[in-house]
Amino acid sequence: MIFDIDFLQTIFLSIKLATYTTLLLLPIGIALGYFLAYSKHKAKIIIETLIWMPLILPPTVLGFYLLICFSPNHFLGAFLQKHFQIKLAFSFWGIVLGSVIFSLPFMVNPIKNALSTLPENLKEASYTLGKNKTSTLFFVLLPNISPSILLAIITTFAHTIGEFGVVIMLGGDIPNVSRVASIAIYTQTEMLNYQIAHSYALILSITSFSLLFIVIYINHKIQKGIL
Amino acid sequence: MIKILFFFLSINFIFADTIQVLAAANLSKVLEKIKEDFLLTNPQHKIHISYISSGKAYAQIKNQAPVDLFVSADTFYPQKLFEEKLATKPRIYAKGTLILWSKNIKIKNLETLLDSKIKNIALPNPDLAPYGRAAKQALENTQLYPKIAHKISQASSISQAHQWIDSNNCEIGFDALSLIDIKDNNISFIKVPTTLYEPILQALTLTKFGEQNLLAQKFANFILDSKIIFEQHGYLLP
Repeated sequence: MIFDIDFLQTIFLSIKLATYTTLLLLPIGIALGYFLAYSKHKAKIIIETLIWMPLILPPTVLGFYLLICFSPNHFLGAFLQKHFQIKLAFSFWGIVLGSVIFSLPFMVNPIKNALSTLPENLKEASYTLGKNKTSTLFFVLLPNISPSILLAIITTFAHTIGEFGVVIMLGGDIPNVSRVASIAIYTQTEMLNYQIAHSYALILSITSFSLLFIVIYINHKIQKGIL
Repeated sequence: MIKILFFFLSINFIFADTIQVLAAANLSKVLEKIKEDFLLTNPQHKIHISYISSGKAYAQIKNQAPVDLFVSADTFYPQKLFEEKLATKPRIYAKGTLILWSKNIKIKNLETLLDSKIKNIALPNPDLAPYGRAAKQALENTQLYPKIAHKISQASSISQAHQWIDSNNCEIGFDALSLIDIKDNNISFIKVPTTLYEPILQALTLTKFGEQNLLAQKFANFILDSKIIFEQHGYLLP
């Protein structure tokens, strides 16, 4: 095993990317999950399809389109650069944004499913007691689905740790900006440094296994009605 | 048992007129042209060329993939296969030309990189890509590197660096002359002076698997003789 400063920086960057992505996705996941669980809106089916898309879409496609969007030749890239001096391509925040879109279904779906299975009368009782929609959501509904929220957080985090396609398309291979562990494995393999690639691979495997184990454990508990 | 099987397989291949070639991804244009020319005089043969990165080609050959000929974008991987007794001595077929190009900035010389309008400079990973290594050498030899290091966007390969410049995500960047369209009037490019970097040598090698194959030998020699086509596609002659 090789643990030099570059190695640790790369692992740290993976964790940083996954943490920011998860934190940004949590409120988005709650909002979209709530909308999908309770809304009667006509556009619901389209929105749901779009949210599921990143699950099926090759990550390289997403990266490719985002890179085009961020280019100063197009509206979004030009707008951001002109008014805010922000350049998203090859920046850490660019890959965070890509990861947020990429991991969207992993955050939204568990929350939406948990909300849909809550008994109707829970909401009704809360309204009858004079609570409005927002406080009902935060003080009645969400506490009741906290295991599912935890599940969504862990799967989103794990999914982002393993991400490759979006990052390589959008971020390239820049130390401390976009060289996350999955990219480093690729680069080190190309350079024939199999030993270093092995170290990264082992750490990622252990991480994935541990996080999945926790997810499945929580799921068992939920099914048994313990959580 | 496996040896006997392998023996029969290789006998089979001596009479067969199909060869498997692995080639570096950015050779696709020039190699397809060469293949076309070769088949004009040898229409009965079949040549399958797969374009992948040189590093992946190395890994495949190392893992006994049935490949006859490996046309690399550098000398590193063919040399390594040769040292591991998996291929013949590498032969240089062309030299790469390093350029700096842009779609919206007039380039006078390397000092153009200091322009404050330039925020991102595309540069392929110097550890992986021969053109990236050459570009870094040129920047260091002109003492420009420390002044512009903060603007460099490191791409994972030469193709990615090209895509970034082409899509204008990078205002300017280093690339291979063979990848740009020099007839395009909307682009500006300069050839980086060859005194500033070590030559980007590109080598091919016959694998142990294809060494005895006459067609593979013939095609390899044909590539080595295709000097004019390489020159037309922006390569220098070895």
